This record gives sequence, C-alpha cells and structure tokens, in this order.
Amino acid sequence: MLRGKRQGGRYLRANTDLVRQYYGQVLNGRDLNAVGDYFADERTAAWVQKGCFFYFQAFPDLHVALDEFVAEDDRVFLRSTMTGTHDGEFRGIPATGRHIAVESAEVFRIADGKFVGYWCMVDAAGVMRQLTEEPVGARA
Amino acid sequence: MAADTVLARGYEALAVGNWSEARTAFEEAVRTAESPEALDGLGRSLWWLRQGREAIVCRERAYSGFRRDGELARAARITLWLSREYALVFGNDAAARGWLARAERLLRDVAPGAEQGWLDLARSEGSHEPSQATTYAEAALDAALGARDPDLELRALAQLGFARVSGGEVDKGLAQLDEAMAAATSGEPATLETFADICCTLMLACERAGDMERPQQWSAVLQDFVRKYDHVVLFAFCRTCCADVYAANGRVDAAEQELVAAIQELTDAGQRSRCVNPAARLAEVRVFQSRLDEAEQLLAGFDAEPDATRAAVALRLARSDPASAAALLERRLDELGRMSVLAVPLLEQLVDARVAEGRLEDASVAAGAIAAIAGPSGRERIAAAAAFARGRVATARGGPAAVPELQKAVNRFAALGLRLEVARSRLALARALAPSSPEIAVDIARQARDELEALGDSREADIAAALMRSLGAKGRAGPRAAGLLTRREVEVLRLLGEGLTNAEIARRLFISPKTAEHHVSRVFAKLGLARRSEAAAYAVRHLGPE
Repeated sequence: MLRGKRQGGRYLRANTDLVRQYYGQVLNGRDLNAVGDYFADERTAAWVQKGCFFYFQAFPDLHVALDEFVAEDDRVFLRSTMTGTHDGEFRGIPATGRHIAVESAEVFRIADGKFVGYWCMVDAAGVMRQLTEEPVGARA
Repeated sequence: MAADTVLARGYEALAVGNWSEARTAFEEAVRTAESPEALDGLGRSLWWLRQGREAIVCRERAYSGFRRDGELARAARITLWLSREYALVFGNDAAARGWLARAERLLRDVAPGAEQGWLDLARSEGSHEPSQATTYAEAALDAALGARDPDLELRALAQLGFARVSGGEVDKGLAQLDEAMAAATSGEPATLETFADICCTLMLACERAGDMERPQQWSAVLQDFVRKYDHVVLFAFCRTCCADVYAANGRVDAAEQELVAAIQELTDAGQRSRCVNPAARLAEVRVFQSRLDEAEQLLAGFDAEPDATRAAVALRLARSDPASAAALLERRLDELGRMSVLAVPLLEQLVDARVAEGRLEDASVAAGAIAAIAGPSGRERIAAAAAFARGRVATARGGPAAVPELQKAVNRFAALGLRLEVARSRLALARALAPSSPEIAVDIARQARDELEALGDSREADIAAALMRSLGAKGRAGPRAAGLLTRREVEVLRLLGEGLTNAEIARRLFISPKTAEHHVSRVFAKLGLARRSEAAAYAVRHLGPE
C-alpha cells in the first residue's frame, strides 16, 4: 500500500513535470515547432499551435504563470494566469498597448509521456473586456 | 484699366494659386505697359503652369529691366531663381554657376540683410558638400531672422534640414524639415512657391533617409491644406511627390498614373526632375507589377546612379540575379558608409540578396547592421526593419527564432501604418511557418496575398499564391477583369507581348508550366488567335506600353 502510493507519487510528479516542460518550451519558450512532440493527436496539436500562434502575434511578451497543479490518476489540472501586452492585432482589434491578465483552467490527460486528452477554458470574454472597455476615468 | 490695377489683380491671383488668371493679368500688363514687374509676374505664372522655358525667358527680361532701373535686390533675386532652375531642371551647371556669380556681383555693394540670406540659401543648395551646405543654410536662416523674411526663414530651415540629412544627421535634419512643414501648412509663408519648395525638400530628404512614414504622415495635413486651394494646381507642381504620397498610402495605381504623367511631361519639356527621379520610382512600381522588361527600359542608361539603386536592385532580385544585386549594394554602401540611417534601405535589400544567394553569414551581418543602427536612432521604422531582417535570416537557417521575429515585424509595421511592409512581413512569416505549421502558413499566406493584391504588389502576391499552392491550398481563381480576359490572362497576354515562352511565363508568374500553358491556350481561344506572334501583336496593340 505504502509502496504503491510512493510509486503513484512519482508517476504524478512525472505528469506535472511534463506539463511544466510543455509550458516552458512552447508557451513561455515560443517554440511552436515543439507542439507536436507533446500531443498524441495531430489535429489537437494543429489546433493548439494555431491558438498559440495568434496569441503570440497579439501578445509578443506573453507569459503564463503556473499558479496551481492538482494531479490525479492520469490527469493534471492546472490553474494559470496569462499576462501580456497587446502589441498586435487580436480578433480584429488593432494593437492597443494595453496590459492584460487572464486566468485559465486546463486539464491534461497523459499516457506514455504524451497528452492524449486536453481540455482548456481561457477567459476569452475577460481578454476582450480588457482590450475594449473604457479605462476608468476615460469619460470626462 | 490702369497698369497698377492690372498688376494688383495679377499678384492677387498668384497669392491664391489662380495661375491662369494671373497669367492673363500679367500678359495684359506686359502688353499695355511693359515693366519688369509685369514680366516677373508673368514668368512666375508660367512657371506654375509648367511652361518652364517660357518662364525663364520672361524672368530673364525682368532681370534686365530691374537692373536698368537700379533695383539691384530684385534683380539679384531673379538671378538666384534662374541659377536654381538651370541647375535643377535643366542640369545646366555652367548656366547655374554663371547666374549665381551674377547674383554675388550684384549684391557685393548691398548692405547685409534678406538679399544676402537668399544668396546664402542658393549657395547652400548649390553645394555638394553637406557640411558646407549646412554652414550656408545656417547663415541664410540667421539673415532671415534678422530681416524678418518668413519665406526665406522657412526655405532656409528646410534647406538646413536637408543638408543635415545628407550629412547623416538624419533625426535633427528631419525635425527641422517637420518644423518648416508645420509652419508652411499653417499658412505662414507669403508665397505658394515657398510652400511647394518645402514640400519638395521634405520629399527629397525622406527619400535620402529612406523614411517612408513621414510623407504619409504629412499627406493628410497636405491634402487638407491643398483643399483650400486647387488640389490639382498645387500638387501638380511635382507629380513625383504626389505619387510618393499615394504610394505611402498604398494607392499604387494612383502613384503609377502620376509617375507616368511626370515622366511624359519631363520628356516633352526636355527637363530633369526637380526632386526624386520619377523614372526610378516608376521602375520600382513596375517590378512590383512583375513588368520587368518595362522596369529595365526605364532604368536604361542611369541604373548606376545613386537615385536608381533601389529600383535597379529590385529588378535584379526579381530576375533571380542576387549576386549582381549584392555587388551593386556593396558598392553603394562603400560610398555611403554602413552605419548611418541612410544605409538602412540598402541594407534591407542586401539581406534579401544575401539570403537569395545562400550566403547566410553575410545576410546575418547585414541584418545585424540594421539592428545596430536601430537602437541609437530611436526610430520605430528601423527597429521593425531589423526584426524583419533577422526573421528572414532565421527562416533561411531554419531556427525557431524566425516566427517571433517576423511576428514582431508585422506588429511594428502595423503600428506605423505601413501596409505594404505589413503584407511583406506577413508573407515572410507564412514562409517561416510553412515547414512546421503548414495550416497556419496557408492562412497567413492567404491574408498576405489579399493584402498584397489590394496594394498592387502583384509580384509578391504571386509568390504568396505559389506558397499556398505548394502547401496544398487552392490558388486563386483569378478575379474576372472588366473585359473578356481574366486579370491573370491579361498578365499572360502582356508577357506573350514580351515574347516570353510558356516556361518563362510560368517562372515570371510563379505558376507551373502546365498552368501557364493553360492560360496561354485560354487567351488564344478567347481572342481567336492561332500563333504566338499574333498574340504578341495583339498585346502591343491593345494593352499598349501603359
């Protein structure tokens, strides 16, 4: 029982490390080419790549802080905060130079050192609000 | 009508830019009571009406009149104007020097004041040495301030700015030109000649500094200003400048029309351009449009001149001759120095040439030079160019740095409103993405193609379309032109007119030989032609040289 738990702990640590490594290399390291190394399914990889690309274009200094991990079985849950400066066009909004911060929740399912399932919720409405809402005191 | 009243009417018309009415008034004044004033006014009106030679004849006669009457200052002003016209427009340096010497002699005994300032301005303009030109322009500016002559002050300020730009003090010089333009568009100068002259000087300085943002930034203000007068009349003084403004705003077709008209007028009048050579400009446009033979014809005889370097290099690159493009650039950079802001436009092309040659180490050095100039210059345009250059070198090397650099270039050019540069860096970005992310690459290439097409850069649009096809996406179907032929078929017909084979047409349009063959047979079928020679004849007759 005890042995099994320790083994389980190593296993869970390996899974969170893989997610950490993915963030270090792809998101914070800007290496789009590496996306395919992490996702088992090509279509998911292509979809993630595209999403990353458009965020990189809009927020060239984008950084994702990994706030909290929860690992269980073959899953890793991650709560993160993305920050960046709006220096490029984003969904039709030309660069505003605004600094944004948005929270995300993600779940990775891992098998054989790859992501075989991926679920993510970015606060997209929060991004749009921060880019478009009038700053406090803008109205005279 | 009394002679004085007629003259007054003429001056009034000149002041508001009504040149025809001014001419009528002064002609009447010359007929009824010939005076140097009337001849001078007539000369000025004719100059605006683009009758440069007749203007010179009139003002030479006015000069004699003023001398006879002992009006040395007014006579001297005309000699300075004549000196400038001969130098700028007719390239007659001997006549220019002669008239300048005349002015010096006339003003020898005149007390220091505005007239000496005008003389110094002329000396500055005639000086090929930037430091000397700066010294004279400073003296002219001092004289203007002392004499409270706003025309001279603004002209001298603009000339000082231009001399500084030529000497490599780009930011300081352009700031002075901005100041002169701001004053000129606020209505400070007394004459429209001054306004026109400052515009020309600004354009010339921007050309020299490779600064394409500035004409664009000023164009809105300028257009506002000229609306107060007659747009056509005021902008007509320099079609090349007008074309520059259009080109900076992405209106390539309008720019093309202005340039064609400018070259025609200069040829008809046997004159040289007052500022940037419109033939060099048009040659660049022709390379854009994949009309390379026409570009070559335009450059024939002067492609070694500094003015024409950019166009000549663009042509060589389009003809897949990067080695000779690079050699031309290296020669010009040796003359100019590599670490000045003035070198940036050449270094940008050098990166292209070296990448095309596969000499990536040299390309990297050129890209590094742009980055090294960007920092101290504090200019966003150059910082964007540096990212663009680094991105292209990284693409050729196949590293992951290419995509972020090119994304940066797209954003920076977009922030500056430089649409053509945005589209070109987007195309480079698509190319960088192609090996690892073909799906994104297709999307980006499509966006680039649409932008390039809208801006009239059909050459790069073709390259973008070819990239899309190579990634498995459908190329464009070719929007139908107004006539019988599609736009693409018109392009093919034009190339048939140049006597190109199907394989050559394919290469020129970045399409497969099979597609070229298909277009050629469609052209033949639609026009009912049987032989290539018939197609060539049809092209010459119906498409014209354009």
